[in-house]
Amino acid sequence: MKRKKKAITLLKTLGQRLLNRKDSTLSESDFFLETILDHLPHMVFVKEARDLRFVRFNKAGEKLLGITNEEIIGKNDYDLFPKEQADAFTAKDREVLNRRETVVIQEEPIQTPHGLRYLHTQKITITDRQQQPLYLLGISIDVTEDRKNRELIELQKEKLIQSARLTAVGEMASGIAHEINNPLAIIATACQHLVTRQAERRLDDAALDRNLGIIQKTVTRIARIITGLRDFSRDGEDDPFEPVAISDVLEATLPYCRERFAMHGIDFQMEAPSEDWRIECQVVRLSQVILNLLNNAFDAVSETGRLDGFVKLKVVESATSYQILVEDNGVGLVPETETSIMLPFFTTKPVGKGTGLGLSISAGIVKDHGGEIQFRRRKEGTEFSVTLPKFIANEVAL
Amino acid sequence: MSGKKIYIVDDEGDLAELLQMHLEDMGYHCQREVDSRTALEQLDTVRPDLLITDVQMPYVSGYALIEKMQQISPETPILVITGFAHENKTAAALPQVTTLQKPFNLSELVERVQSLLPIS
Repeated sequence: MKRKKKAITLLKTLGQRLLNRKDSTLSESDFFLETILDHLPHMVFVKEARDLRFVRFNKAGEKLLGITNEEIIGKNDYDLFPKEQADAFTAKDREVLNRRETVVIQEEPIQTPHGLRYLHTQKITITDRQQQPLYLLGISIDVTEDRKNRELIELQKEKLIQSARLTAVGEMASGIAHEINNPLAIIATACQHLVTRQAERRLDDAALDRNLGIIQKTVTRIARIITGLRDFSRDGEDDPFEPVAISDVLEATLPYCRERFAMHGIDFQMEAPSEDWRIECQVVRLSQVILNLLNNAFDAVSETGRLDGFVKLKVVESATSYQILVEDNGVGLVPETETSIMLPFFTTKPVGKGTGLGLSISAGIVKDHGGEIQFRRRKEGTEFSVTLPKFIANEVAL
Repeated sequence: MSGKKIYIVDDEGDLAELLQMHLEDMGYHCQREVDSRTALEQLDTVRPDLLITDVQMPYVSGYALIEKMQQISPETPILVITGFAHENKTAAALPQVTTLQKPFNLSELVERVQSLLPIS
């Protein structure tokens, strides 16, 4: 008992001394401690446990809050901050002291002369030997800049994702031009044929019907391509999951890549899967994944400059799933990059060519479908696979 | 009727049909084929006076047809119609080959055909 009393008296004395810091009666060890605290780059404060009055406040704290030591020592939060904020600080302090433990406040806003700052604060209970709380020690790191940087990075990430999507759209554009040119040629020819016949007064019903029929059919074909393009350039994230034939998903990508392969002399082979093979998916997003894999394959083959370049697209069935396979005889993967290729922003493509987002976004989409993207090195080139669970209709399951 | 025969090969079936209609109006005898494999087999039997062909087609490319045509009958003119500018150039360098880029004006096609294979 006697010892405890002595200890408390000692601490009280110390507390008192701390309160009267300016009386220049600091002991050597106090001075030593004081110097260390003042050199720390982060705000450190100590409050006594009973009234939560400040007993210590270092230089970094003075600078951050714009309050001097003289102004703060002996005061509590209500003397310094608006009531609402003081309430919040005090409640937290009490909680820490009651629980006698360390509490981390990830980010708390505070008004300072430099505007609103965000602090990452640790509040620590300092107890006596009997575990009675004596002081509350606070260490605050100003994380305002980190927070700003984080927001900036998020913003840039979003922009990059957007630009990745636009790149993909750009790559599709040249293919689409041809995909539309063909039907346009048909419409133009039909019209000119009709005009010629009419000019020669030889336009009979049969010719009129046939030509108009072709025009109508071909206009629909163009409209379908345009609708597909519009579908493709949107997000599709909130689309419902629907049971569809895998062949439909694959077909949806063709207008955007088939011509591109043809133009560059890359042999594109697709083995159409059975119409009965169905999966439950967001068609737009999954088509974007397939197109992404096809575009990667295109780039891999183009890079080799070989004349016998090919890209094969097919689907294989297993007991519970389907595997969509995209195989190429392009540059292939090197072992060092294999672990990184699914990571966001990783790319082996030349600067400005790839964003490094395609595969990571694709992997995310496939994961949302309960599937997975895998790849393996081939003797030449690479084979990517998208494994997706089979869709089994309820009545069939019974 | 001149009895001059044109073989039209294009995987765009409607286009081939329209060309046939129009050229037959002009007095040509036309035969068309959408499957380039069949066209390659039939070329020797059809023996056209003019071959009109696309280049990018599934299975067999227009180049294979051009090569075959030149083996069978080196003097037969060939009109290549394609949507790809670079293939227009490649094809135009071949003997007997004239090119026309899609989408073309029908009157342009008629002019080419008439100069390659005059009626009468």
